[in-house]
Amino acid sequence: MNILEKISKKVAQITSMIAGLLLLIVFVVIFIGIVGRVIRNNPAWTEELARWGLISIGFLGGSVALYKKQHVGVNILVTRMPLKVAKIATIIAYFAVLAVCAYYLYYSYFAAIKAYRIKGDIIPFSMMYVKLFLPFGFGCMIIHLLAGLSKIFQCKDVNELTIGQ
Amino acid sequence: MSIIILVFVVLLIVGVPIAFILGSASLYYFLFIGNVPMSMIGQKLYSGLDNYVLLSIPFFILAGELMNRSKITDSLIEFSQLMVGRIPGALAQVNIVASVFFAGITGCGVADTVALGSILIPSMEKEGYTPEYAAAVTCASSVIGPIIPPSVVMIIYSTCTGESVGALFAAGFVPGIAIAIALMILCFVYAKKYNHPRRTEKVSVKESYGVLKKSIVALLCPVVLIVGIFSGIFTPTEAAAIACLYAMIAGKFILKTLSYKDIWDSFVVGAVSGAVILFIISMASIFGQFLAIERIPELLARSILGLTNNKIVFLLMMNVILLIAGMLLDTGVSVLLLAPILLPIAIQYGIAPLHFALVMLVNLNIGLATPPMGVCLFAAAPIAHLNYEKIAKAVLPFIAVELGALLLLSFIPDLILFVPRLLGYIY
Repeated sequence: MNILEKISKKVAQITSMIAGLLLLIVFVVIFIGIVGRVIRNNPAWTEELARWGLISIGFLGGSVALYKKQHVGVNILVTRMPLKVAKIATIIAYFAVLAVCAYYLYYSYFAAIKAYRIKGDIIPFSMMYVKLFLPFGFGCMIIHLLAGLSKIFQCKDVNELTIGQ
Repeated sequence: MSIIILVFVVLLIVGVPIAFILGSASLYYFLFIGNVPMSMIGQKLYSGLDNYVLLSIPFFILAGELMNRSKITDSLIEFSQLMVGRIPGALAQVNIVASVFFAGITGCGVADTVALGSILIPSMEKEGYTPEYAAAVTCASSVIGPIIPPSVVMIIYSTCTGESVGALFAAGFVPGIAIAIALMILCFVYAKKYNHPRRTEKVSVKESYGVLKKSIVALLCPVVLIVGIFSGIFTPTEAAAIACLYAMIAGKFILKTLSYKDIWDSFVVGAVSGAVILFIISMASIFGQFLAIERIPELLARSILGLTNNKIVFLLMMNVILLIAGMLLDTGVSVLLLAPILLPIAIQYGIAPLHFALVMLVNLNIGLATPPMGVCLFAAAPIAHLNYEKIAKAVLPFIAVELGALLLLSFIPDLILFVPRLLGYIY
């Protein structure tokens, strides 16, 4: 296992823990909302906080899914190519995804920084911190992609080459 | 435009995941063609997910995961055996009925194939069914999962078209049960032809009570969800969270099959698997912007309306297109890409939005089990220890029956609209 793979594994472990924890927090927040409604003291912040949690889960979980090769794609063609051709196709795929992640990291980072003075509709908390989960997610994806790319050359099985499932 | 289609096709061929294909195609458009500020990308990525209803996606996945880990599937199978075990081809019938109950818990076709298939395919083989027949019944009945509520795909459909989740759930009952009945009739015919076994002895009241007591935990879950949503007591998102709590309490304290580690692991699985769908939705919102700027839905609508004015021909065309899409793409992805484009066209033909929604969803879900690319077939192959081609051949009569049911649903809208009308979602 090379250094990139080790970093990628550690990042995936940490981010999957955070994503699981965020889902647990959102779960509790939703129940606070339900109970609040039943006792006619519905806290307005629950929905906003839950939505923020959802956005964070989407991008952190999305990066873990890339590590676990869970993103949905059509692999039937790549897995039927001869190994050498499949390797070239997969390298093209990796670079395309890397480019998307790099651009989106850049633009989502600036969108987050610009939101520094904007506060939530109900919760007086800077939106920048919520929006920073987007570039963070893309950053993690870049690490997983670089680790995946470094493995392609040693790969001997076409089925192990794919980026997604 | 042709370059964007080329980018799309090339990336699809080289195996780029769909979410990133949507991202790449949109990025290409914004960088080189469209006159749109790039700062919009960050905003769109965020706003695409800023929707409370979408929270139900990771929660329904979490509920399914908790139910699977607590081995609730076993009790559903026992209950189904009690219900239909005396009908010829008993285990095949059990497979279909268990799918109907399982659908009420997870709403995911592939999960149904794996969870029920791993128990029922070996049992069916032991009773003398051929493995390809057992696998084919499992795959064909898995189609029911995302049609009977609750259904993750319906939530995705609701997000991208604005249709009410409750109305979609209500509309799913009749199509799901219609497909189940059609499959059961086919299994009955097979059982008579090949002399498939059935249970001959009667089950005593005491035994029946025992089975019912064991399975009541699993059976009550969909009832609580459906009644809660339709009566307006809680929203679909809250319903999904309640399903999780229900599964946790049932698994940990009633069935005692769930450990705290299982619960934590399920949260991680729910977050990551849910994020796969959420990430596609976020990317699709940017892609949707490109479609809207280029007025693709309008152009497509004009060209389809130019082909035919006939509603029946249009529906037949849609059936073919959607079935192919269902075979090639993930159901959620197909919904995200096609629903916002096709729904406005269907409305122009005078088709009720809810009717079109279910025709689309049934079509795409049949694609899950349709050769050559049906995902359920790939999932069933290792369980049945068969090569994919054998299952693909065996499943064809079942697909034909499902397509027959689909045609009925396409051309008799009241079959779909009856329940939503009864519940007051439409008039």
